Amino acid sequence: MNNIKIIELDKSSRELFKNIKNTFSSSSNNKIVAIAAGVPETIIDGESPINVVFAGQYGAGKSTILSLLTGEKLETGGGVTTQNCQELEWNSIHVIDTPGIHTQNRPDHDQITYDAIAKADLIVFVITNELFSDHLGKHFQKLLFEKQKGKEIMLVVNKMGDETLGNCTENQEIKGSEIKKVITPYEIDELYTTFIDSKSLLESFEETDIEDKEWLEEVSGWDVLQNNLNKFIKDKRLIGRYTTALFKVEQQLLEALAEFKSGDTCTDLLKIDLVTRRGELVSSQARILEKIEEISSKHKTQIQKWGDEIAVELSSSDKKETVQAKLDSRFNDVNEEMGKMVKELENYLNIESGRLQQNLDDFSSSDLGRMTADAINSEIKNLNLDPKNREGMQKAAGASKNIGEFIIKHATGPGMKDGASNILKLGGYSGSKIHEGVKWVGHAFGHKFAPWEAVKWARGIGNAGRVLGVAGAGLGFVLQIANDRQEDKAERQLIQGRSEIRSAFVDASNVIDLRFDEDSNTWVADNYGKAIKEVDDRLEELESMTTKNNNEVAVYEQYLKEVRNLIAIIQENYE
Amino acid sequence: MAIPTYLREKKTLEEALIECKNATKQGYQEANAVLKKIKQSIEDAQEQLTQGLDEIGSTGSSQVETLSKVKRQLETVKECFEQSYNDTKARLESKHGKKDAFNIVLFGRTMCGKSTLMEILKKGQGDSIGKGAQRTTRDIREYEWNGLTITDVPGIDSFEGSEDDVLAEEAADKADLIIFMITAGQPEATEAKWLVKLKRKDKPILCLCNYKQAITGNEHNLKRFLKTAEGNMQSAHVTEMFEQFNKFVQDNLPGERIDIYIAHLQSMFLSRKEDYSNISEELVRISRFPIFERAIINYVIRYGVFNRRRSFLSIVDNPVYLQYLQLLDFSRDNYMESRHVYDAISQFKSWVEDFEIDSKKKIETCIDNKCNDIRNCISSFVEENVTAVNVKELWKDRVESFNIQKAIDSKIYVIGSEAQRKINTIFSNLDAAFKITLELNKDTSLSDKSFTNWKKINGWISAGAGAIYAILAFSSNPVGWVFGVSFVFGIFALFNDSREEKLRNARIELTKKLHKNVDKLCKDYKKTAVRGFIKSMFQTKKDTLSRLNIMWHTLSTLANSQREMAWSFCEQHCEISKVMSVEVLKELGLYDSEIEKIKSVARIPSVKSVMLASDYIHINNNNKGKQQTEKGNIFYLMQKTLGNSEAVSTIVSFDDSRPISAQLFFLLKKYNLKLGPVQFVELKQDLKYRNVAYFKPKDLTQQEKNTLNIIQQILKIQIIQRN
Repeated sequence: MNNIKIIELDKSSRELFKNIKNTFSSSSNNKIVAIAAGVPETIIDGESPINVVFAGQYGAGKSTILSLLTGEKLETGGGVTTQNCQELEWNSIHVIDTPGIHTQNRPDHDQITYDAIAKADLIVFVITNELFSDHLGKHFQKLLFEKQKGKEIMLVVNKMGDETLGNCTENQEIKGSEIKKVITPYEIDELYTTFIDSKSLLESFEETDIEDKEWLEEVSGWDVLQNNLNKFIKDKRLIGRYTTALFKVEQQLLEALAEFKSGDTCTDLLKIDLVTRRGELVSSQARILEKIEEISSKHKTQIQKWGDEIAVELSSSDKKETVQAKLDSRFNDVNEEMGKMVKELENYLNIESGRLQQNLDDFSSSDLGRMTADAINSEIKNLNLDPKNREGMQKAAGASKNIGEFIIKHATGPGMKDGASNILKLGGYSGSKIHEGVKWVGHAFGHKFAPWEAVKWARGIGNAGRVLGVAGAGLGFVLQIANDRQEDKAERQLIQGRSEIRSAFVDASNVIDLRFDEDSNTWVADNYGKAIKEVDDRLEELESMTTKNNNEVAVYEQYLKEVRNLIAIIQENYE
Repeated sequence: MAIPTYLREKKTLEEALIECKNATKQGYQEANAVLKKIKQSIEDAQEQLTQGLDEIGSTGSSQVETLSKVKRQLETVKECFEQSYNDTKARLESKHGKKDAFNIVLFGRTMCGKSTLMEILKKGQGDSIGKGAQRTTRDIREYEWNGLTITDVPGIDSFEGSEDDVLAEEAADKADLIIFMITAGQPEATEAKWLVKLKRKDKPILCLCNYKQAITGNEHNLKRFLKTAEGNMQSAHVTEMFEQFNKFVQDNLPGERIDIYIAHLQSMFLSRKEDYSNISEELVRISRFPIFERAIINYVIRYGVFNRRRSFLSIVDNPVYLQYLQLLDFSRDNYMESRHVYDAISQFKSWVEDFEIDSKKKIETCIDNKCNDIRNCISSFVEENVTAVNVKELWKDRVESFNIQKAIDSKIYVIGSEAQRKINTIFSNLDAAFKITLELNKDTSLSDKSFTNWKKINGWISAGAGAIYAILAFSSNPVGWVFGVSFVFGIFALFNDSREEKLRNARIELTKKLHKNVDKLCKDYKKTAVRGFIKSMFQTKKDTLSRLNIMWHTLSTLANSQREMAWSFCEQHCEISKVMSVEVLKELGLYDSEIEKIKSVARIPSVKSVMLASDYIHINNNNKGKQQTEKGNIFYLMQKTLGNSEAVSTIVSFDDSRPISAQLFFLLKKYNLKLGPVQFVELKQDLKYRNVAYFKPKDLTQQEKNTLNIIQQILKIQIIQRN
């Protein structure tokens, strides 16, 4: 034994175990957090007695052998007798009986055995003269190679008395060559392979004929078993002891990793669902924005056209009153324009909300939609999930289900309290409230809306009227003589008047447009934006959950590698 | 009426074998008749597939690569239908080739004593007996014993011996009787599973435990053997072991109970050797072999004729029954996937309809908005330029500065990306839907998958939904948005100069003209842009739909042909089951008038069979003093003749003229099976079997699945779990 080496190994394993324990503790999965408490501190665990686990197929005679070794009476028989692990004492060694692996129909028994093997310092694997079936052979190979137990295992072949030739050397050699096929590259002797017949030993107790008795004792192979077992334990004691904690941690890491195996399908389903619904929302939103732009543009042009119509016809022959009347009439039209725009948008929103709902319903009632909904719900229910993840998923499932309702509730429609009509009318662009509205918008945008103020609006018109008044009826004639000073002045005034009228209407259209755009876009952001954000948040949560899980898995896999590496080092150094 | 076989006194093995020989002809003919019908239904299915292929060819001319892959795949499917027929035919012919011999197959793990038994029976020198190493018998060996053929097959379950397993199973398929051998050492769950597997193939089985105890090697062994073997063979340990083995069997086949004979074969073998002549009789007695030997002979005498005939039928029935279930599963998967595609097609169509209208509107709005911007500048333009000489050029420059072309281009680009996204979503959702369907359907099959390894059966997997989909999904690039709109505009309309007119009129006139010009501009742009868009859209639509149509056609064609074939197979299976039930009742000596009451039979071999009868069936009272009139006893006797614990029952006065839903509810109620709401769907009119019943997914026990399977066989409607 190399003391320096073990001190080094102890040091690095302490470090590794500490890290593993910390990672377990900070996991978002409560089951993994619970594992943390069981992580050992070091590979050297004082002077507790060594654990030897007897494993193997049911009915191979594990309990019989242990009864004979320890003198304790264990239940034996032709069926599956041992249900739980039993701990016994033999030469101040802990020997543990297991229910036996590979009964296929009893996975619970298999699990008990696997757990015992994970905690074992050393393993005695018992089979019968019928050796390895395909299933048992594969299982044994897994223990030897995958589980790295090859250097901590002893193989016992029982029931050799059932052979035609009995438990003789010739027969043992035949069996040995068969066993070799399964255990290669290990040699028969490396596994301390021992051939026995426990029944012969039992019979020898009853036998009165001395010669027969001795012979029975001999063919039972019992002495060989005891010698080999002692030698096995003596040789492997250190390896067994030093690797036990590592095997335990390996098992814990595997358990932790198993926690991440489930849930992938569910996450995928959720994503499909969310992404599909998000797509519908985004399309719907885009359609509404498009519509807003269309309405805006149309009405803006209309208002400006009215201004143009009045302006273009303004001439020196026009009476102030006539122009004023025209302006007044259009002023009312302009006032009504915002109401029309709002109405138009409302109508569209009604159509659009129905359409969005229809599209979402179509998806929900499609085979895929039904499947995802049902699968998501049942998966969430059935999954072995960390409560936090479960909650996240349920929230996501809920969000995706409710998107339709959410939008519909917020969409406009008769009797809808917080519908678009109310939001858009808050500014009060109708009737006498127009001035206040203009000011409000002006404040809101930091924009100078001078022409919209009643005074200026009137002044612009007044100026034009005055000019027209002075020019009188002869203006028409004056216009024909381009070089006349009076006419020139009148023309300049007319141009200014036309320009004022036009810009008054342009400004009016801009204010309406801006206000309309602002309010509509606010509505879209408040409703669609919120819903889309909700979906995005869910998607992001799922994404980060996946990433986080992936990271955690990567960390555990790295630890697993390190643990296995330490096991290999110990096995190489302490033979 | 012939006197039932078993009631005849002291029939000898020879007599029984002569009858078996005669039964061979009948069995072969019956089996062949069924096989012919199978051949017909395979041809029908192939015809259907060929037609389907033609239709697909005519729908998706633009998807050449996908199409050829689909065709190849469907050809494979056609071949695999044929292959399974050929295999069955070959098996039947191979059995018929040895028509005179009643065939017993020795089956068991390596080293269980099959070779020893063979040496005993053929009175050999023991050359073939292994010396404790595994895998002593690698080939199939046949020999004669008392006019019977004994077949020795490789041992099952040996380490890395899966090839041996296949050979052994193939040989067992042709058996008239199987001797299933175990040892007292440690019977394994896997052995019990094999036994159940053979039972499910409708094979009669005698189970023998070869007790092993050292006997040769030295005088001690023999001495101990003579002293203890008899006691050992009747010890509690052996009884417990038998119990354990039966438990394993019952895990796979509830209610079954296997009687196990025990014998020490080695001592029987040695008893004939000269070295042991002095204790020969003692060895024979201790071996208990004569008891088992007598059991074999009695079995052949008692049940040989029936089983001989049955084994011909079950050679056909076994694959037909399994394929019926598997084809229904495939059909269901393909059908459900075709429904996804169907959904996708209608979804795409309705989307495209809206999308076209929307997009046209979008393009028009985009042009309108731009034109409005231009309109809005008219007045100031007129004001500035009404007197300008080159007003025309100036206006043109002004209009061009608004970059309508660019705005339309980018609008159409956005629309194109949206279409592309939508198409991608449709295909990726299909992809997901397919995967999930397969995932969800995994556990809802009525067939017990653990007893059939379809992967072993060449080509079968190619008919599964996953395989078809894989081809459809990855054979070519997804359909893309074909974008190409070019604008060639003669945008500028002439307008007259009116220098002589008054400026006011000039302004009004110019304004009007410019407005008119913009209106025309707007109209022209719209016309060209929308036309270009429709052209692009048409190609995209065509490609997408043709791709989806190929998918839909392929899957639904496959689903339909598989469904038709499944039901046709099911009918053959029910027909065979009826023949078998009739045979059994004849064996039991029932009057023809009783037997004629049976209308049809639904059956899960070795598990459950239900006879639909016009009235209660009674055992004939006059027959040889048998006083069995209780109807329960028929079922017991039938079970015994069938050689397993199959639950046999009858349904009397089942009214098949009622609506199918009423029939289903009647049966569900009768078997107390609660499925929740059931929805009926009628498939295409030209399909013969077009009823499908859906119910919400439920965790069903194997027993409930079995009941559902029986109901399905009776009604010939597919019962599917669906969300």
